[in-house]
Amino acid sequence: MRRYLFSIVLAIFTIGGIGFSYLYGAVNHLPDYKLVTVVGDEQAATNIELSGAYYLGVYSSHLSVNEKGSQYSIENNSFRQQILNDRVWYSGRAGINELVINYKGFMRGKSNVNGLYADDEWIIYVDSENRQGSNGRYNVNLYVTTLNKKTELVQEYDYDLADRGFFTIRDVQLLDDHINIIAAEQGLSNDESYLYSYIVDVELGSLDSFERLIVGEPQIIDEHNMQAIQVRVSAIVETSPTIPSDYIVLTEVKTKSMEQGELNQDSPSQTSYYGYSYRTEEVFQLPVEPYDNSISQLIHNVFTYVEYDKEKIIVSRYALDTKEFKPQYITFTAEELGLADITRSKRLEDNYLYIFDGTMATPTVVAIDLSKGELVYRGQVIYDGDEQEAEKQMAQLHLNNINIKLE
Amino acid sequence: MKHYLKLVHFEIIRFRYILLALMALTAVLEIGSVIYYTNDALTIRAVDTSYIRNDYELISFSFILANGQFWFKLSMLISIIIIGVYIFVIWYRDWFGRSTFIYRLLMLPTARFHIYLAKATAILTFIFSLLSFQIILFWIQKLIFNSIVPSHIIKPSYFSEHFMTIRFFLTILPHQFEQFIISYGLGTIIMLTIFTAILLERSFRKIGLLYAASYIAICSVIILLPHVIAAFDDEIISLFYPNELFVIQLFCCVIVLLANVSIGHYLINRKITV
Repeated sequence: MRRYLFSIVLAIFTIGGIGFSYLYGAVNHLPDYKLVTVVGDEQAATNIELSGAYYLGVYSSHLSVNEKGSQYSIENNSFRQQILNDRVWYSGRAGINELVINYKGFMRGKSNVNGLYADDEWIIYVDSENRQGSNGRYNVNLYVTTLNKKTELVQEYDYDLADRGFFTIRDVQLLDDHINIIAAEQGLSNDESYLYSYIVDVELGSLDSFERLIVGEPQIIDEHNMQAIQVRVSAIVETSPTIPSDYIVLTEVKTKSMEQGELNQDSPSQTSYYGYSYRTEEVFQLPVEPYDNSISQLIHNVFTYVEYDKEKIIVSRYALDTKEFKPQYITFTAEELGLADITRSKRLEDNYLYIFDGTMATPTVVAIDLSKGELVYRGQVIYDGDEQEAEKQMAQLHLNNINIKLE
Repeated sequence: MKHYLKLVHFEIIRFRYILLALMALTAVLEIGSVIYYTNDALTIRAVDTSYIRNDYELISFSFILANGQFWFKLSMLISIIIIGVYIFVIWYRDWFGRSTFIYRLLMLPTARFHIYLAKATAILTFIFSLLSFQIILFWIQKLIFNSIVPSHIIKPSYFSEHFMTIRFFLTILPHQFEQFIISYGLGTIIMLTIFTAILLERSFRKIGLLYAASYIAICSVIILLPHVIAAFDDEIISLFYPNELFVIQLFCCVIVLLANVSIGHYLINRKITV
């Protein structure tokens, strides 16, 4: 045995050293934090995840905190997890995971979330491929794939669209056996964009019509000062492809350009909101006053518009189907919410508005129920450890973002 | 089993002086770096009182590691290069050493495949022993740091913080044990691929070099198959769900591992002759 002493000692040393490293690392780990409920329903915190950084001496480590605790990026960064989290931007959208589980074959390879539509009878997927021509314009292939859930029949159609701007799908809806596709197309300059509506018969697969949604004219020449006005039109669509909708909201931004095709960064933009009805093809302006700091959401045909500054938050709603407008029907001040600064991170999800202020000594998140106009939850992040260390550890924590995990 | 362990011991003994020399070099470079930068930090604080006014008077071990990371990386890189070269030398020294020792090895009353496994085990033992030594060295360096710096200006730091300070550490000693298995599992597959390529070269001599190079290329393509396909056609890869891609990647690695073991077994038993 003495002959093999060196090898035996080396083996014990090797296993012991590495084993000790992982065991000790499990004990001497980075500090734990937790989101705790201060006021309201704990259930509201179930999907809340706050993220930011823990400042170490020399570097910082990214972490996320929720009601279960905290997790650092170095604890969740194995090769396997990197592969599995590769498309979290896709699978994290409401309704997508359910479609993937129930219709795995059909959903295979379909990664354009904006091109998805699902209801009780149909799943429809629309995608496009841009091929640039020699003149800078594009020849576009438009692909439409449908699945009838009852018959399990899959149909595929494709269409060639010549001489287009860069083409992206923004929304897909099915109304009365007609697939309505809203596509954004880039104009002559990168700052111009238009929206087009395409109608496809779901049974026959024929491209029945397409037209540009007239909201604003691009390259309008202002004759008084000979500066072109560039218009960008974009769409605000339903938050989930599994929520059928008869409407979308169009955002029109007009900016004066210095020269043809160049945006004047110093010139203020003028923003307007319009509703578009798929059924009637009507474009109507919404009585929503644009605000410098705002977020918005379209869900179940209701357009929610949130304007905010450091001190207060104001919510307005416009029901696109009934055209009922509730201007500023919810108002909260920062003091009422228990926050220091409302301009920090916010999320609109379903019928809730989540506001997070990570600048406070105790980072605080609130949830407002938009249907009732009530504050339903306030939570705070605390250090989950020795109370004597709490102040020091909270000073090292810098959370700055809120995310709502739906599934 | 007994013969296999004796062969492992034999390979370890042959390399022990180099292994101890690598450990000594690592210790000298890293401990020297810690002592130098710690004294340097104390000198700066003694001379420049703005550090105290600006609350920078506390010194953490991570700060010292950050300053001396070049020497840490250098010591680890030297060890990696030496071990990398020895993956080839462990075989070729038996053919081209003072005596053609491979003949004596092949004539031993034991399964020839034990030679293959013993050499692989020995290389892995060297790698993990150096890794273990690095971990122990951290403790020694921290003790030295604590003994040099007055306790009232030491800023405590976490164990995992040390590894994040020198990011290279996270590669050689991943925070998650799962990633440790994946990284070193992949490293083992690469090592066995090289072993099998060496045996191909030794079995077929001149043409064997071509076989060896081709074998390494084929194994590389198989292991990197999802990335190779993605490079040519991203759409094909998008047809697979993430969990399927992981299974494919795992399957490719297992295929290469089994190929290495079975081809190596065949070559050392049947093709390499005395």
